[in-house]
Amino acid sequence: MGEHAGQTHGHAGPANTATEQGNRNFAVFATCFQNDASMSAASAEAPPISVVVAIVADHLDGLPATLAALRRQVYEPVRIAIAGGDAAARRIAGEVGAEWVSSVATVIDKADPSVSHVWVLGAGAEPRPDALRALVTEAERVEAGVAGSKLLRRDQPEQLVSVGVATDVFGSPYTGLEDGEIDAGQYDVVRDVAAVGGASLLIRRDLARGLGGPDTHLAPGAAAIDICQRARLRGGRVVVIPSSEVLVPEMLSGGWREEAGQIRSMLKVYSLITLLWAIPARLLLGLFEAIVAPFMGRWTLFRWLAAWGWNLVQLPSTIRARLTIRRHRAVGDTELFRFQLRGSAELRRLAGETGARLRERLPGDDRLSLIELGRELRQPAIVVGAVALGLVLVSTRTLWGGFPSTGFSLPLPTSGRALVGAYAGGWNPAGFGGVEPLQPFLGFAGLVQAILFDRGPLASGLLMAGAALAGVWGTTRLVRTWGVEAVPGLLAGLVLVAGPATRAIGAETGLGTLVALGALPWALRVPLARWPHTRWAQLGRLAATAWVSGIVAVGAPLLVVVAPASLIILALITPREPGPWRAALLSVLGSALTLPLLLPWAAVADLNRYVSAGDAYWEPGLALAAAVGVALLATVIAAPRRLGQVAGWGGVLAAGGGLVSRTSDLGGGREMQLAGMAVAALGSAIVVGVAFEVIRQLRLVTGWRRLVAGVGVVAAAAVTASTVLVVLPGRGGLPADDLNRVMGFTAAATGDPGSSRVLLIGPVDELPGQSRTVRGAPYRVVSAPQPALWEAWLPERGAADEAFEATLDAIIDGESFRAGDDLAQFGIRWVIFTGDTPLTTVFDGQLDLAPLDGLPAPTYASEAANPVRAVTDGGAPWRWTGTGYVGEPDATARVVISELANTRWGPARVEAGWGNDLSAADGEITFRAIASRTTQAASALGLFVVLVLLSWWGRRR
Amino acid sequence: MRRLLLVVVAGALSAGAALLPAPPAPPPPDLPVAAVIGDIAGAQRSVWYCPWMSAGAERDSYLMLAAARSLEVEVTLPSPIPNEEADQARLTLADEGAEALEVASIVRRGDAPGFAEFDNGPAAASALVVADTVLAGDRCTGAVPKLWHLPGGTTQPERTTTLRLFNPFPEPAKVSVGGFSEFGEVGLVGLTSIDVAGRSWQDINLNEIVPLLDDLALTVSSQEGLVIPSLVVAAAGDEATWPGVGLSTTWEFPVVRQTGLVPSLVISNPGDVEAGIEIDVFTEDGAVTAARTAKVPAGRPVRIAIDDLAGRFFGVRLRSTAPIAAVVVAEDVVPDVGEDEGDETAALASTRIAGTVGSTEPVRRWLLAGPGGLSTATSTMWLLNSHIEPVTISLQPLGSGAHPADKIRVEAGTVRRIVLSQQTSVAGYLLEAATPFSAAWSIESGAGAAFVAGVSVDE
Repeated sequence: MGEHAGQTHGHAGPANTATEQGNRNFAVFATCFQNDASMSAASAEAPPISVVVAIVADHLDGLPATLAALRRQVYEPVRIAIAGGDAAARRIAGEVGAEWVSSVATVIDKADPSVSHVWVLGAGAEPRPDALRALVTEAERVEAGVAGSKLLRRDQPEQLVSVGVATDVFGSPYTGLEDGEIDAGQYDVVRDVAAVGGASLLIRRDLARGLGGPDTHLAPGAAAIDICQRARLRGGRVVVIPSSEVLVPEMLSGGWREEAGQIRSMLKVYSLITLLWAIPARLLLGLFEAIVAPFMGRWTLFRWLAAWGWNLVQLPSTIRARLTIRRHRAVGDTELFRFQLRGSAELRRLAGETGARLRERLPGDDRLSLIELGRELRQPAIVVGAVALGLVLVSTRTLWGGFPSTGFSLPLPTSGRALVGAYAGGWNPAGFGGVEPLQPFLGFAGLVQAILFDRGPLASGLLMAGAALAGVWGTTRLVRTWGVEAVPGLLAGLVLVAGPATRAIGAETGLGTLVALGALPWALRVPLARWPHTRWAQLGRLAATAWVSGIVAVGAPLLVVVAPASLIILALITPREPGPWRAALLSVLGSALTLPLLLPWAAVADLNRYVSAGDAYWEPGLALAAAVGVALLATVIAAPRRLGQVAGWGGVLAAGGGLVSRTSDLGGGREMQLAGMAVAALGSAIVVGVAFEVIRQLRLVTGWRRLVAGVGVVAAAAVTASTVLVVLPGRGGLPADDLNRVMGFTAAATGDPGSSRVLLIGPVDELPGQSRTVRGAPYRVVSAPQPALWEAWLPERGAADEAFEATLDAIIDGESFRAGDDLAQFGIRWVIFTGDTPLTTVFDGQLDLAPLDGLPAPTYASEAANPVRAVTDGGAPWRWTGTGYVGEPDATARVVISELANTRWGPARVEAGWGNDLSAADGEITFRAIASRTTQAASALGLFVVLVLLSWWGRRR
Repeated sequence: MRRLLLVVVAGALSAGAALLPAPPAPPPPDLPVAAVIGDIAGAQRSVWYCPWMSAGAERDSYLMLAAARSLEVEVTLPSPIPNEEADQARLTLADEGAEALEVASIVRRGDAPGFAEFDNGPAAASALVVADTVLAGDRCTGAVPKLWHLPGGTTQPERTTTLRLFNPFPEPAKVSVGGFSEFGEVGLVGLTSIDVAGRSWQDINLNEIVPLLDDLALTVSSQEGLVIPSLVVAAAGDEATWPGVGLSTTWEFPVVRQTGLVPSLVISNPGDVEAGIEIDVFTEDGAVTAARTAKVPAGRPVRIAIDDLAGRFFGVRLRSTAPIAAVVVAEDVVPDVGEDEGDETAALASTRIAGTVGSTEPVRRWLLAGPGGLSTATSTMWLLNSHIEPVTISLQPLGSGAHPADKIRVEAGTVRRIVLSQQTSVAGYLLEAATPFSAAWSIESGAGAAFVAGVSVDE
């Protein structure tokens, strides 16, 4: 090749010592320099080996540096070739006078017969001047077929990148090094390894020829592992020679091509028996990682799909290569297993990453290592966290079977998509129907259900348990803002999700409020978190505030003002601190961004009616209210200044929430009561958390303050202990199912019970959802066999309701003696009395209402001909599907449906009093959704997704 | 200081919350009180229950239907066999129509209580039972309360009193029957809780339970469900039937006496206080106020003979200081001469008997379902004007075909008796006047006699 400037044969520099090995004297150099380049401690003797270098040109940027390093090699290669790359690589080769070839295999094939070894280098790798000599010397000495160098970071040469590679059974590389591990010579011993890094790999030419060179289909990392495995199958040794040091640029994590290469390599080298379990295991492992990785901020699903897809396409060539390998193998799979890691390297990496992230969110040491895992698990934070998780799961265990049917808690309909459609401009099926929009929580629940493939019970459990877990976690994070540690924080979280105020919300069956309560602490925490520096991160923070507030608003729209208002109060408490003011401003902006998320409901709903319907009058238990008060007072007195202020803030929230929940006299309705309870829950949780934290502050809380703090803790403990009242029943604080008890029999009725309605009469608190009154007696019309959640809130009274009440009036006044017939036109097949009501007697003396015996509640069944919601003029009933009706198509027939008259029903609608007369030609009757609302709902969803993505992107920045 | 302020604020908010008043309790439901039994024909659809009907080998019944407006009528006769479909008939009544529907044309199985449903109004129904020696009947019942009063029973020899409990509804009824006689409350064994299955009836022979009572007044109360009771008093041949009534302080009886029948007023006072009554008599010539007075002890019935109050025909008005129930019963009285001429004991035996309930108040319109509808008997209309002004009453015949109305003047404080000609096309009358009056009708044949109350029409 000729000499290059600065390059000399042999070694340069003084020798530190001398050693004898065999009959040869070697000068051993601890550290030496040649041409200002650091050299490794390598033996001095030059073995009679001829090496040709093949530089894999995958990174052209590093090519000149590699070439320059090669010129400085004390052991000169006979030829340097640049393999692969494009025209630019060829040009560079021409400029430096190096040969260009299409692949490493060409170098191997075309090398002079005197060449004994091929040194494969990655472009950008900078071998130290004696790297090649060390490789050659040691490889020859140990008779290695493949030898690799110790790889160090080019920008930080003291940091190790790789000293040989182990793999797991799936071919994933594992270096065994810590992140940023410093080279202190701890790995400086020649040893057998599973594979060496592709950045510097010396292979015997004859072996390389026999193997056919590196697999050109594979990415560099996978190709290196693959050729090493194939070499070992041929009986060759693969060793790492740490005395050969190569500086490499920072390596990016393998993409789909590396993973694809690992799979192909498995398919080629393993026996069929090994493949039978390894391939499925690899498939499942990748899928599992694809599911878990998003929680770590990574998306691996496409990589997984691409890797397997590529292998499917390449399968024929893989099989051909496999046949060649298997034909010439000298050893079995056992040889491959010798240097393999137990288990999965990817799983280890994932577990380590997960643990680190979890640990970041808990107070304590910043780093979590496997070694410390055992000790960490015994820490109170982990124990209490596990207990909290267990309590939440136990508290909500029955909800995985669906919401109980009681009050405003009703099961989700069978189709989540239908529920979303009803929210987004579809028909509101409550009562006799209407176009009043469903509440946002229903749209959200429907979306969750649709995502879960319409599994209503699963969606119910997920919503409630998820909200509870989020609430516990969020409270922990929130109070940590002021230094409240994990255990008190978690206890505060328990009070938030299962304390007295939350139990009251459950007793009121405020499902949406319970979900909103889970997100509420986050709506305060996110704005309070440390303000990021970059613009993108700041924008992401605003987006995060908005979408978290959005979840609060969707669950309970009135709660959207709680976070900004609370933070403004906090800012007023600490007026000189900019943090709370910024948080308040951020929360205000975020809440403003939330409002579009409530479309179309916010644009159409009668907000005054929403706020004032019902009576807001919460009567909290005096004992527990007093306990919160005592905890507040004691904590404020005993706590250090900052914690005392936080406790005071919590107390103001609790008291303010209690006030709001009792504003019936001022026009407040049920939603106001629920919102007030939620704020009271939040305030109570903060007070309790601070109370428990104060008692831990041994140095700051001393003397009489400690005694007072103890009183506060006792009171807080009483509040916390009351959470067991939620745990035991397992319904997340919701009451037991009572509606199913009285209506369940309808499911077994003859015909299609779902095509009929039920008239429920009884006290307000024994009727599902909202109710109407006739002459002051409450009643409710619901779908049989069981009403779904979208029937809980009634639309405004319409013509159908007026007609129905006129019918009831006639029955009450004794003007009707065939109530069954009268009610049948409204689709009512059963009349059930759910409790004491003066209307019981008015249904006596009806000629066509037959009492049903043996039922828990007085029940009458109509003997009318067709007590169904929809019937043709020929008397054939049509079936209610939840969003419309279906039946036998008949071009000449008409169907009358007992839904509130609306021109959007079709096809071929004709006026029919308060109902609708439609054509039966299509066999289907549908309601044409209101396009503007559908658009608004879609826009709201799109905005939510954008906000989530923006917040994720901001976190990465 | 700041923390103290926070506590104060929290305390103030809590105090404010505690002071906020609870929402007022919702007002109790505004539901109609139990109606006083005053069966009224209104302009809307109605149903009339006729418990005492029968159609078989020995007797037949006629359901007299009358309507002031064109309408459809559906007659339903429940089957005595459980779960069997009822027998039904449908017919149309034209404007101002009336019809005497023979029950045997629908079913022939003996006892056949039933009901008639009118899809419009005003309409009313009455029922007559006819046999060789029987002519009985009264208006049917429109209102169905939980508590009924049935005075007028007797369990003396030669009289049989039967209580029929008719349940036309699907819901089974649980009923208790109470009674009191001249001796006070009587224990009716086995009648404290009677189950009457849905769409069925039960007959209770009171003679078997409490014999030898001169007067027996019954109360029927429903604990569950509803029943329509009817009292039947049978003489040696004829029988009389009347429906249950409510309580009122005023009763008017336009008809009290038919040819040869000796009337009595039977009054029951189920209350707790003694009722003082005054009987006003209205004859063809004028009225006699308080022609008789009497006291009705609390919890006892009283039978007041009124035959001596006036000459030929008269009507009465009963005024009471306490709510009472009352019926008029008129019987043939034939002295039975014993073997011993000195025997002053006269065993009473009668063949004809009639009875009816009264009206609680006069009104301006009346519907009489049935007069003239039975061609084999003579119908008589009775009009009572208890007002101080004379009244001119329009008599509109109801039936098939057009019939011109007639007018009749009834002087103040008098009763008018109108024997109706037998027209096969007439089976009822609509009576209207500018001022209130009372109306009833009677029917008589060789078999027997019956008094039938009129039905007031809702204004």
